Amino acid sequence: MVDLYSLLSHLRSCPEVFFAGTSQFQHGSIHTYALVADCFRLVSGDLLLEENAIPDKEILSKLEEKSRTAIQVSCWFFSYEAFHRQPGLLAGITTFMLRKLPELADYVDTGQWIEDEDRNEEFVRAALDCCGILPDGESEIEAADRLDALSTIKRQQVLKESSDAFERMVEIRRKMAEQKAREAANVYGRE
Amino acid sequence: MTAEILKQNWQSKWDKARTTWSPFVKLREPVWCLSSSEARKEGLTGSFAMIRLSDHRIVIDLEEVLKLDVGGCALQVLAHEIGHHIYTPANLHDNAILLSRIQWGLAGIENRTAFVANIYSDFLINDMLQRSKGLDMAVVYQKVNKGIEFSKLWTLLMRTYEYLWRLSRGMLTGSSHFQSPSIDADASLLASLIRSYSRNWLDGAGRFTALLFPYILEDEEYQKARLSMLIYLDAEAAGLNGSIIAGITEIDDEAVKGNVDPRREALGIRGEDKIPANGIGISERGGTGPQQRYLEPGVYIDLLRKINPVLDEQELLNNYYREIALPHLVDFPVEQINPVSYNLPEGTGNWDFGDSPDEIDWLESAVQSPEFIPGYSTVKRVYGPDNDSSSVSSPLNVYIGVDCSGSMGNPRFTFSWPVLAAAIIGLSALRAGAKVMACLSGEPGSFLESEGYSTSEKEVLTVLTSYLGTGYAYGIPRLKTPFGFPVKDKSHVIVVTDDDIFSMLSAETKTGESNWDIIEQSLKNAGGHGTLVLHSRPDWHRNEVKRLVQMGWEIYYVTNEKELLDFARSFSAANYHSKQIKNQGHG
Repeated sequence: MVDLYSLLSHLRSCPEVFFAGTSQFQHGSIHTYALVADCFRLVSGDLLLEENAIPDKEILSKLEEKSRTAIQVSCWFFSYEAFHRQPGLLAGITTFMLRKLPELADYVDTGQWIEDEDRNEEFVRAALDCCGILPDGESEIEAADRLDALSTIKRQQVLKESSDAFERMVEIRRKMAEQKAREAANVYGRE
Repeated sequence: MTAEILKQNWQSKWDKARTTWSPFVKLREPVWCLSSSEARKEGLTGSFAMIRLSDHRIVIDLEEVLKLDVGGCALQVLAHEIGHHIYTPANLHDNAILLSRIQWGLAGIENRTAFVANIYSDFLINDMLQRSKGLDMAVVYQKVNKGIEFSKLWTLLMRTYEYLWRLSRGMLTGSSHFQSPSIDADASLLASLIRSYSRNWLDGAGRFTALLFPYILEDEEYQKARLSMLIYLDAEAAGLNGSIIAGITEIDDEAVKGNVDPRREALGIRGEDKIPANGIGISERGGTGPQQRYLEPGVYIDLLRKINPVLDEQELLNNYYREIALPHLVDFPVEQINPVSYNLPEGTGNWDFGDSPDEIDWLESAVQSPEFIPGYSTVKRVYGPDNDSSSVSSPLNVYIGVDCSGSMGNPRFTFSWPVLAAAIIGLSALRAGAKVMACLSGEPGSFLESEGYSTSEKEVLTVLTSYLGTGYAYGIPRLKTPFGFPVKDKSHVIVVTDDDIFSMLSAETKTGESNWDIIEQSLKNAGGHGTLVLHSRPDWHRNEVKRLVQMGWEIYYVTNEKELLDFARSFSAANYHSKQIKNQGHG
């Protein structure tokens, strides 16, 4: 159990440098792999953690730039003290970094994770969910419902499904406006 | 608990509610209504509280408060109502802007504008009170929601509050059977929107409206939604009894930009938007009037009457053309007058032999002495001039005749360039201190004219913006009313009409005097300048136009903005800068 609000605040205080470019060849950019490796060693509490326990360089390099930036932000997030020396979390963190974040990166700009209140909370809850941790004072059902409410992916699916119906409604709206304009023109003369 | 005790209880919470927002808030204590019948007299129906922006009051129906069991929520309810006065909509002007932006997104269902505005304001205030001021607003909803009729919109709104305040599912939505993933998705977007626009709340109105639109589009859905939300509608008539709000005639660019659906934004749909970007009240070419940036008059009137249903339609129409005319007012022609200096008697002086005998004032001389001794007891009257200024500027009066036949559009429904042209001249004249006589004429049929020359803007605009729709042209014989004989005070004559005027000029008359004679003689009798503003083309009726020009009439064609501005400029230049009349002895 961890305090949700402390985590939200911690994520919001993510330093600007974590949003810098991720190319390992450009001056001033961050080496994503180095960050991830540090993060995993911090969480495992094992500074000599073997490389095969850390996400593969090649996998990281195949990800899109925005996904790698989101992973860098997650490295900051998992640097929170409550995650230190918790080797049991590594599998969840790997899932979060390599599956969840790339999926979300299609819809959420990296900056939104700290600037938008809802996305900020979604990030934290999704990370906790992957790690199997419940926020303080919440039952499993409550936590799942709250995450569900914030889920960008789910919202996108629902919006896409209802999009056709909505387009029809927009069409009705357009026709109504046109009809109204025609009636006005017919009644009120030629000007 | 009785209503009287409840009143004392709520009165004791008033100061705290006020200071919840700021200790500097100055607002009169609410009107406490002990019974619902009292509340109805104050205009409160449906809900248990309401606000009035016109006199900055809050009205509370204590009987209804008891019924709803929200007696223990005095602080929340009072703070909420205060929020309407100091946060949103706060004042009549912002209320008008809010309604105009919401109306923009409600094509075809504009009658729901105030309903949507009230819900939007409530969201902003409640979220501010719950999250920033630490008040438990959720408990008010939990109490009031008991026994409420569920609707889709109600479920969406309650679900949004659950999202906003991190409440468990069902805490406010209860057992509503309308809950669905689609409503959840919309609620999540609404919650984000309320948070994002809490400071620049006017800018979020368009997006908010777009999110609610599908929930109130169908009449049946809307009626159900209204029924379930009725108890919460405390600011629907907030603008009642307020005055006309200035600056609403112009199309609000922010309203157009903000007319965006957050669902589409979330899906990343950009570019070609199928939602008509021009919204309602804006024709296909953009807006209407100068620079196409004004609402159509009908839309303007509808909007203002939504804000305040008791506003007079004619007054609104006057204001519409006045606001559009104001930026185009011109220097009004004046004439230079060397006024006659009247000689006024100033007393008496001695009459001497060198003076003319007819100057002797016999009465005054007899008062001085019954014996008339020329040069000794005779007096004469002494006169002096009444002013010493050598010349003054005086604007000419203006007669404006407007064609109001069936061929002219009704300026109430469609923007009218000719009426705007007439309004510009009329208002310019009044501003310069001239008097204006206006006449609407659609003949054969009917006419409407002001009672002689007037200095009343209202009277002039009312005549100009009225509509008869009879006959086929301006009735030339109308000119005989003011110009049947030479007038003492010179006048400009302006007739706003279309090319049907030429049929009228050539029409047979029963008096033997042709309309050509009348128009010529009227201009002479007016003593000023004659202007025909035609909603026509220069290449039509060339011969007739030539004849009018020979009589001294100036012709202007006004069918679009450029021509209107040219007309106003030329009218001013021709009559003001180069034709200042030296009118010796006229007065």
